[in-house]
Amino acid sequence: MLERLLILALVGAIVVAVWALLRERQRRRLSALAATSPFADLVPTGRAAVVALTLPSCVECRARQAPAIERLRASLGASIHIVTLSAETHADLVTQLGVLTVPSTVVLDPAGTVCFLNQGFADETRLAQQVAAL
Amino acid sequence: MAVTLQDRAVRPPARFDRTALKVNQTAIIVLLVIAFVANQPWLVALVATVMILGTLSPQLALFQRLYRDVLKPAGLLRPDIHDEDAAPHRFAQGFGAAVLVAASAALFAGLSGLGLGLTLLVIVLAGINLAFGFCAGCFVYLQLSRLRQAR
Repeated sequence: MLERLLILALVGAIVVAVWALLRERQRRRLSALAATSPFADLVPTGRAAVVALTLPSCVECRARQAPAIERLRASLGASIHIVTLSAETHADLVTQLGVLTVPSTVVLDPAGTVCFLNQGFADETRLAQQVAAL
Repeated sequence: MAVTLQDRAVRPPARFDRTALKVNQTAIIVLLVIAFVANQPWLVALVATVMILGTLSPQLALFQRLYRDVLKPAGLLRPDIHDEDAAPHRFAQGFGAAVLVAASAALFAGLSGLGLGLTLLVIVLAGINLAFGFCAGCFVYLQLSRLRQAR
């Protein structure tokens, strides 16, 4: 029994360590992207923007993220750009941003700088808060 | 190519209580940890059965019923209602149940290493989802898609 408790503790510690490393990696990557505009050809500047990265057959994207994005648009209207991109078609962006999963959402400031990257589902409240924080 | 959502109609939101989901995940993790540590294959099979029933019908989701019928009315937990579809959660639960059915079969067949390994896998993936909100299945899905594209 003690052996199995130790296995659980070890696995838990590894998971937490990997998660912390991934968070740090993402923070550094976003800092490095601060001077660039990876979405320059895809998203107009001048207004804040939310970009959703999805895959056509991703259930989570279709059932949760897309409706949340639509509700965000309904609440914020024309004050932001909302764009949905295929992670398959834009594999270079996925690599550049370090996107690990779909759906993922990116919040850009009016100059096109990447300010937030949400790995996994992000509801409209969280996205609206990130847009408001720009 | 960019696809804007400007012309799409806004779908009426489905109401979903995230507290019920968290209670469900916590109960699954706690019971599986007990099963793993105390070497109780029947407990793995019981959790698998509860998950299968919960996937088939939300009314049969025992741990969520515990929340809805006991914990919430008693004021022990508060609802956390959001506008989102429960379908992906049911899909994930069904996938977890399938893995636990395989784990139970392995444990009862004497393949302890395989059975415990699969049980541990479900504990870890459910734990990651509960603690970090990260969908491991979605991660695998994207990586497989990228591998296919790279070939």
